[in-house]
Amino acid sequence: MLNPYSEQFARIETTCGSLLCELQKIWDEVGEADDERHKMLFELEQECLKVYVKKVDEAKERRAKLQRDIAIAKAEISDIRTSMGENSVHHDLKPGGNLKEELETISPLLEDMRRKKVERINQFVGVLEQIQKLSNEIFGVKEQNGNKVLLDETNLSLRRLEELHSELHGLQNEKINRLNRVQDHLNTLNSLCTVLGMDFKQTVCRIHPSLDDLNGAKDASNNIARLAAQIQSLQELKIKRMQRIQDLASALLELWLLMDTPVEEQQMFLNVTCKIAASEPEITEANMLSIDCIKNVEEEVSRLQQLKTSRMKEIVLKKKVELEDMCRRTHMVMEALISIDCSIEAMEAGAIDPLYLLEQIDLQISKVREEVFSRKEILEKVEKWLAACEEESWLEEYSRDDNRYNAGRGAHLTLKRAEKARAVVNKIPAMVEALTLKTTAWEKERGTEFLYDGGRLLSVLEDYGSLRQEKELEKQRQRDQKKLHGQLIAEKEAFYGSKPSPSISGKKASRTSTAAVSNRKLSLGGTMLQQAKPEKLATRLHLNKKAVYLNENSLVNHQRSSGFATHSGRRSSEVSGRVVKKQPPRAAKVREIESPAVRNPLSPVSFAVNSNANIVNFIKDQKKVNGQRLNPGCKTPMGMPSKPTLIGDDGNRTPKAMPIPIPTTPSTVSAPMLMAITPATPATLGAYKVERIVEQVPQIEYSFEEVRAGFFLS
Amino acid sequence: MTSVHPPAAPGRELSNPPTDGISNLRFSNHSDHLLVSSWDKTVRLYDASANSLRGEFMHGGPVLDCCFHDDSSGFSASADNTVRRIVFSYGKEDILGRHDAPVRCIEYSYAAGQVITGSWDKTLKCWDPRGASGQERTFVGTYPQPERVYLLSLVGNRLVVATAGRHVNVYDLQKMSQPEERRESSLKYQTRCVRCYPNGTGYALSSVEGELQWSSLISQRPVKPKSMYAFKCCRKSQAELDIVYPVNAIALHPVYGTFATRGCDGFVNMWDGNNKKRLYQYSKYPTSIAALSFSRDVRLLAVASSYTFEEGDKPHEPDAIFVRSVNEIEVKPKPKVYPNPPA
Repeated sequence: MLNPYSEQFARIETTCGSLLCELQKIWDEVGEADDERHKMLFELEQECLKVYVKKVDEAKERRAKLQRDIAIAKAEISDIRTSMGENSVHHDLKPGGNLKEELETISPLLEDMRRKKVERINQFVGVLEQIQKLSNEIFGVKEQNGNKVLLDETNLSLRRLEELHSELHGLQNEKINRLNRVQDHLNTLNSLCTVLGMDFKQTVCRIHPSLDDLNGAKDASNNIARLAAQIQSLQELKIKRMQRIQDLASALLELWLLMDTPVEEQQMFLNVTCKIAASEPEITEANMLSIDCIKNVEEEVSRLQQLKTSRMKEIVLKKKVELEDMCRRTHMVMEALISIDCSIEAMEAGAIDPLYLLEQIDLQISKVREEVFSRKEILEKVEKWLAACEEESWLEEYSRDDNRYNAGRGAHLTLKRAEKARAVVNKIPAMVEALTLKTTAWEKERGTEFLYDGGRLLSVLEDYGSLRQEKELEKQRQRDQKKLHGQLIAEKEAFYGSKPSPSISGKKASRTSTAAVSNRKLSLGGTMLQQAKPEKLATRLHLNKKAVYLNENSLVNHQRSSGFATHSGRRSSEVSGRVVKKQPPRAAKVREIESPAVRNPLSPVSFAVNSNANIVNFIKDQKKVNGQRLNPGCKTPMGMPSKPTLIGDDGNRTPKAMPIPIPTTPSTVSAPMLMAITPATPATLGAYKVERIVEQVPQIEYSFEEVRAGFFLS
Repeated sequence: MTSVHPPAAPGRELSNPPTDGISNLRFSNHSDHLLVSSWDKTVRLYDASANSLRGEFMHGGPVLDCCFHDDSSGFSASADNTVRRIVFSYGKEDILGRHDAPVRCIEYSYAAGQVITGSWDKTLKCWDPRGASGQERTFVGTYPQPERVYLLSLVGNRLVVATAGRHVNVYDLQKMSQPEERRESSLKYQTRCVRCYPNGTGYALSSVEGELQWSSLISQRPVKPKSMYAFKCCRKSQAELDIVYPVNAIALHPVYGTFATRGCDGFVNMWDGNNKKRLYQYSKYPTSIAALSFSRDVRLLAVASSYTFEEGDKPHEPDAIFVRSVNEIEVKPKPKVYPNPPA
């Protein structure tokens, strides 16, 4: 190697020697001094040396630099290698070669290492950034400080990278998990919302606006909590509503069952009722539990309920009618009916549950049924007895008919009937007896009274018995009278000679005097007497109102007793105690209502007319008179001098005083009674009028305004 | 009665009320103006919605009745025997004419364009307000009545006249010579108020003894067979004694046919005549209710709370006018409770 350099050196030396030779020649020619020559040569030598030294120094410097570079590169490489966790020995440099070569080989290596490092760092940064992002998302916001990725550059080993990767992986998994959970929640929420008929989007937006957005960050931890809370509350709501709707559904079913609601009507609500036993998760149909749906069902239920109450009412009324009917058939008067009436009113007002009422009525009905069973026997007997009574009254009527034996159409039938009736009538006492026995037995057994149309049957029977007795007495008396009559006629005939047929008037008279009047003959009897017809007695029994019956009865008694009272003093002694007892107050009353103005007992004709007009009003007048008597305002006109009373007595006494014109007495006999009453009417009317007039005199009416304005009619 | 909820306030009280008893008040048919006549010899015009006194018109004597002509003028009946026309904007008044006794009541018929007045001189007179002032130009006719005229009510051409002695005459304004119907009030006591149905088929009467009765006119009778009925109101049970109060007036709801009564007991009641039910009872007013009027759109009810002298001269609460707004629920007839009532 040294050869070219040595050649070069030699060439330099030759060039320098030739140059020196040339210089020698020049100096020789010039003849330069030796000194000068030496000096020049020395200078030359010095300059050359200087150049050499300089160059050598430069070369040294470059060598050092190269060495340093190599060292640095090597250090860096090893640095990188350690940080990347590679083996430092792996790629050692070959010791041979000069420095430049060494550098040459090292620098690409370094370059490579650096590139690798950058790549690794980028990898790290990427992973770290993802981790950061995920943890941000998962653990909430730490945006400000978390934004910078903290990278440890000293440890870029693959293991570390691996670690980071696994961390990232974990985070990603968690994120997916969370997303799934959110999705799950959202799904449940959605289903809940649809079932409850709520707007899903709205509900979700209320929790977090981002939830609605599909790409939004849905997994913030508090979102999940809130979602869970919302779901919880909705679930509770759902359960509540479910219970409500199931209650309603059961009510609905009950009502359907009760009322046989047609299937078409049921169809609409079948979806509700089929869920009656469903548990909470089973209800998934949309809008199943929406407010509208519940409201719908509620409305239906209330509608059905109303329907039910109205039906109930119908049923109650029907039952009531049934009960009434039953009572009527068995002639019972139920106090319960009245109370039921009351409670029906209450039910209509909504105060009583119809169901309860229905039960009550049913109870009553069953009670009545039992009672009916026990009463049946007696009732049958009563029925028979009543029929017999009817026959009896018919017979009475019939036997009073003078023309009964006239041959007419169907006369034989009536005859037959009469025959039968007589047989029946004969049985009546036995019947009554049996009935009484039965009834008393029944009453003993039951401990209660046997009521027939509200009245006690026994008392009715007693009444009947006494009535019968009275009738007997009457008959007896009639017979007596007839006898007397016959005597009188005989006497008269002895005086005046015989009359064509006095018996007719006598008969007529005697009939009018009795209470058991046949209205057929007595045309002036009018309504009042018609009411008193005995045959009505029996028929009255059929009517529900015992009171009316009794009233009627007593009226007859009145009639009879007053008849007796006015009949003649002589007869009154013969009358039974019962009737006698009634007489005095009656007579007193009669006397009281007499007026002084119109009073003439000895003019029967005018009174016949009067009575004709007034007898109808008898009862009313009687009442009125009683009322008037109570009225203090009427006292003045009613308060009578003693004189008319005396006259009244007179009137009553007249027939007694004149026993002789007895054939005409019966007509007068009835007259005094009527007379006693008829005058009463004008008298009371007069009183009334007077009162009215008295009232009216100071009373010209004025309105408040007239009074205030002082406006009075002159 | 479940429907009675006593409301909180009796309504807005109008400022500047009359200083003496209020004899009548009426709402205008066109606005919320309220015309009030009073025993203090004035007629006052209020704007009920603005609660302001728009005018006050003095008369020679107590004013017993008033009515609107249109929104700019009205008529008044005065105890000084005169019938006046009042023009609100000028405060001017024309005397339409005179009766021989205090004029008790006045009505203006839009159908006939006439003013009808009833007086205690036992006559009814008609006036044509379009004529100028002065009796000879406005007077249309005099129609004698059996008794002192107490009340008038008018719908369309039908005029119902109630007089003392419980007479009721029904006229057709086009044939005034003869009453269409002569009747006697079926109530037992003095007629206190009469009011025609808005549809003209009948009228309602009330008496001083708290009775109210509906009658349909004979000409309309076949339409509704059960159209006459009476019931009792303005009564109060106190210690086993029924205290009856005069029913001072009736105001009919033009749409629903329900009506309000007012009486000396200080209560205003809303009734449903068809179902014979009380719909609503307003809270008690301080003293007797002298008059009532629904406004044209039935949003407002004016109530004159004023002692009506039913117990003579005695100390009493100050007179006041209340205007209350009317809720639909108070006046609307309630539907039957049961879908199919028991037969």
